[in-house]
Amino acid sequence: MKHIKVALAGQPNCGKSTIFNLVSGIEQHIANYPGVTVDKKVGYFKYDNYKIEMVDLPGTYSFSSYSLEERVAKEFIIDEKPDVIVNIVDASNIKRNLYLTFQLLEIGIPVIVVLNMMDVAKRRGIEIDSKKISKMLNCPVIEASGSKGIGGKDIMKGIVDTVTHAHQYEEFKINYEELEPHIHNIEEKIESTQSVLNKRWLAIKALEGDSSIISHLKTEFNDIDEYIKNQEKLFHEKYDKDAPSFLASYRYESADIIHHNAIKEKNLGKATLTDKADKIILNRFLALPILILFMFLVYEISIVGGYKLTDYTWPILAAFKNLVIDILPAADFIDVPMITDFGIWMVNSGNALMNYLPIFFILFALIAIMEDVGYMPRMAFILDRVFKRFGLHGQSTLPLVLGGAMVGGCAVPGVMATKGIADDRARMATILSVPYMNCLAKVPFYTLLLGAFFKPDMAIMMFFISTITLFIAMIVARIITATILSTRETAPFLMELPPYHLPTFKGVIIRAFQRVWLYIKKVVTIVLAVAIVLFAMLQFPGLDENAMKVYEAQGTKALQTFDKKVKSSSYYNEVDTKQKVSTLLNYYDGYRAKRMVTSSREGAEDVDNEYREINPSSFKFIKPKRDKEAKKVNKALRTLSTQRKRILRGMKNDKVESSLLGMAGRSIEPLTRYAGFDWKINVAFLSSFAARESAVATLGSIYENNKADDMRAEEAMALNSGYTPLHAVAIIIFMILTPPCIATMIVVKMQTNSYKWMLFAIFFPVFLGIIISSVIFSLGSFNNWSGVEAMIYFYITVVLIALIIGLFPTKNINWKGGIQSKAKGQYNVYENNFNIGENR
Amino acid sequence: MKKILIGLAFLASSVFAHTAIMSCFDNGDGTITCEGGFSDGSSASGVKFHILEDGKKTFETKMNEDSEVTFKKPIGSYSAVFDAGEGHQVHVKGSEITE
Amino acid sequence: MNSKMRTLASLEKGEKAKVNKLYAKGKLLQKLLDMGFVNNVEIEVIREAPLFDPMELKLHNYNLSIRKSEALLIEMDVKE
Repeated sequence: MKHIKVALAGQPNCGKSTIFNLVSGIEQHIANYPGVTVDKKVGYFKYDNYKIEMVDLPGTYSFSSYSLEERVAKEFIIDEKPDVIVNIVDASNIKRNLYLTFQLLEIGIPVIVVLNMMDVAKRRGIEIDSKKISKMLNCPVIEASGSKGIGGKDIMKGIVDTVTHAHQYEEFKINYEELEPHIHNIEEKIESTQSVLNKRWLAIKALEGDSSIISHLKTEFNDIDEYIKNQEKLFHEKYDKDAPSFLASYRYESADIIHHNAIKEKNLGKATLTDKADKIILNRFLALPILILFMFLVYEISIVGGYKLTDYTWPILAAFKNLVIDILPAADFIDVPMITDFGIWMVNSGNALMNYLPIFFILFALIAIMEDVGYMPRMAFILDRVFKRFGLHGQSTLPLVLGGAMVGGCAVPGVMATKGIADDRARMATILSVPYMNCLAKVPFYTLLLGAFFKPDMAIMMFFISTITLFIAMIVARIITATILSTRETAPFLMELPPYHLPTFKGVIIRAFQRVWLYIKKVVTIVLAVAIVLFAMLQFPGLDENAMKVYEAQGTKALQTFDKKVKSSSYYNEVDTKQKVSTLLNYYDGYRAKRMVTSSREGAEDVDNEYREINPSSFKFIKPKRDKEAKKVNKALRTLSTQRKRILRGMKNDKVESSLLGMAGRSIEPLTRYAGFDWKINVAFLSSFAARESAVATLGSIYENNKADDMRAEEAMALNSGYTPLHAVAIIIFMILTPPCIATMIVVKMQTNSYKWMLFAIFFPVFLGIIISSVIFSLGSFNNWSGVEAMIYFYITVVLIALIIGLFPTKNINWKGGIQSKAKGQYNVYENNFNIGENR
Repeated sequence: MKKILIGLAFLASSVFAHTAIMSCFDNGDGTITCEGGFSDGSSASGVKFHILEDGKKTFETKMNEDSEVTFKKPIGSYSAVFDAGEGHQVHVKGSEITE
Repeated sequence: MNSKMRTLASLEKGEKAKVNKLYAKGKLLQKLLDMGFVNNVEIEVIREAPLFDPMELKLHNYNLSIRKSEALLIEMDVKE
């Protein structure tokens, strides 16, 4: 079994991934290229006694070194030296695609050209003489159509044939006429190189000023920089041309020659279907409504559909939880083993995340469809002007929408969707601003607070909360792009608007699965690790002896009451010891838990039968039917179950208050005082970091008072806490700005590839939240504002700032330090000098 | 006015309750117990709960400390609604509640 | 046959012209070259975005969007 390594190269939108899926089948995995956030897809397949490894290089228009993708692609070629390069060419757009083909041919590795989308080309009346192209380029040319599943076998055969005839391979050369002497000079200069790469190619790339090649050469020739500059200068003096432009023109001319000789276009100048569709989709007046409609559809399908799916998936997760509870050691009345607590805690943490999978799957599938269809760049085209003002990019639209427009979204898919943004600075800014969008998991929290403090104004307050997030995200983006991100690379907005394509079902499903799997692999594992830490922080040091004594006394009292009630029952002998009662209680609670997750009649009967089998004599206490004596026990048992829950809850709250997390909450009270937060609120926020809904529960449980049964958390808060609506507004503002959940943190780390940025994403919002809520709270206290007034002033201020930034373009200062690398700053300086189009 | 605002604020007032959960259970003595919660195991104590009969709210309360509500079984068809805020509502039809 | 030099940014929807010179440098220059802005290539302006910027072009038989701030650096040779 011999091994062949293949690199798959091609320009964006040439249908590379359909070919990749066609050839590599299902055995593929995604990783990252070392040290960067570019996906590296690798597929394996066998053909004719060869095991072939195919690496999908990022789609690039060229093989220079100006974008991250190009650098990654080139470094792969330099470091891994594949046996064959398979170049996918869009048959309906041959001329531009050949520009890259010529660069690949020069590398000195055998190339196979695959004319993809032949069906589209035929439909457009483009006749291609592929044999002629093959003759002219002296390399195999294979016709294929990835979406139709045509050409896969030919490609595999082509790869194997090329490798078996490698000894006959002859170097490909373009004669660059005026530039030739300089290429030759550099070739001689690097004659002694150890590099296995083609020397001529290295020389050409060096003349182009290709940074990764130059640094590759520099390791051997430390004066190469000077030498190359000198050669370029000589050329410039002689012909008044610079090498990069000269080379590009030359390659385009070469592509034009092939285009002229081997291709006939019958329908040239005729409007294609895409042109007709764009007349509507990109129409000045219709574009925006259509875009909003699409976004709304994505939202609806993923949400409504995802919700319907969770109806089916949640019971599975709940059943898993019950299974774990069954395995773990049972509680002895109010004495719950820590391992059981821990097990339930972990399952809850996992379930909370797994519950999102159906939604994510649908979302990722929809994103894949939009990518394949070609709507993504058009969306960027429509909205770029707005986003540019805030330092973002047209391509920031989708991430922000997913992050939560209106009702609420989720920052996890939002941040994951930033991958394709070409402009590095805008990409970073988008990643860091998406978490400010309205997270869906915050809604119950807002509802609880609004219900307690703003009953009559609930609607308007909710409106403020859900609409302010976009403005905040935009302002934050503007702030960070003007400051800490100002020196990051930007990219010119040169985006192809590719022809519309129908997506392939297989491609969409594969990609959705891959992204969901990535989420499971990265996010869930780390969240579980963090959950362990949180559990420890909430458990230790635990209750002190005095508190334990109080709860034990409560437990004993509850048991005595139960005993009194069941004494008269004829079944008393079955419940006359603590041991028996405790077992029965666990049996009863277990039954209830199982019954709670079944909705169908059959399911209910199954649970009944199961429990009847476990213990027939106890079952009568659960379902006494007409058995009067058993009914007595049943009634007492229900009361006892409730009392036990109350005692356990009391213990838990005490534990939280005296836990490490509680101490942390207390210790920052002097700081948070200015925002009106006492330690209880601090603890709620700290625990909300694990999962937002738990903030509701924590606040609820901290404020529970055991005196009145009908006093709910929110009323208790409004009445007993001494809080005013102004406090509530401060809490809400902090919550709006609050850091994203752990799952979001992890995807931020994934997409920025740095812990530093992850920490920034955590602490900047906290800092911002504390400052702003302190300001609002202090001003409000001083001026005696009501809660709603405070919120209105805050809202107006934020919207005004956003509008001012949006309507009055300011000029970024993009430079820093004296000497800069070629890639940075230069282009931006131009941007500063030309701001036309801004003041129409 | 408020209604319009709500409509504006929540274009999609679809049910987005992938984090809110409720299940109900017929106690067999003319009462129904519903238990609410969130998918991460959080308590739903204090969350609103109501019963709908013919589209009208006939009973409104809040989840108790155990995230439970126990109510008298209505005679006709009804549904129990757990309402943790916009997009966090769960509807359970009375016909689906078994003993 | 008269002709006039104008920036690409100043071309109206539907106008066609040939690339004459690029005033860009470094990264932007290379990117423009890679996307096919080489001398004497004919470019047609297809439309402006709904908010007037960026603009959509057709060159080498494909469609491309470009911001006006970049289009300013491309000198076109317009036939009168």
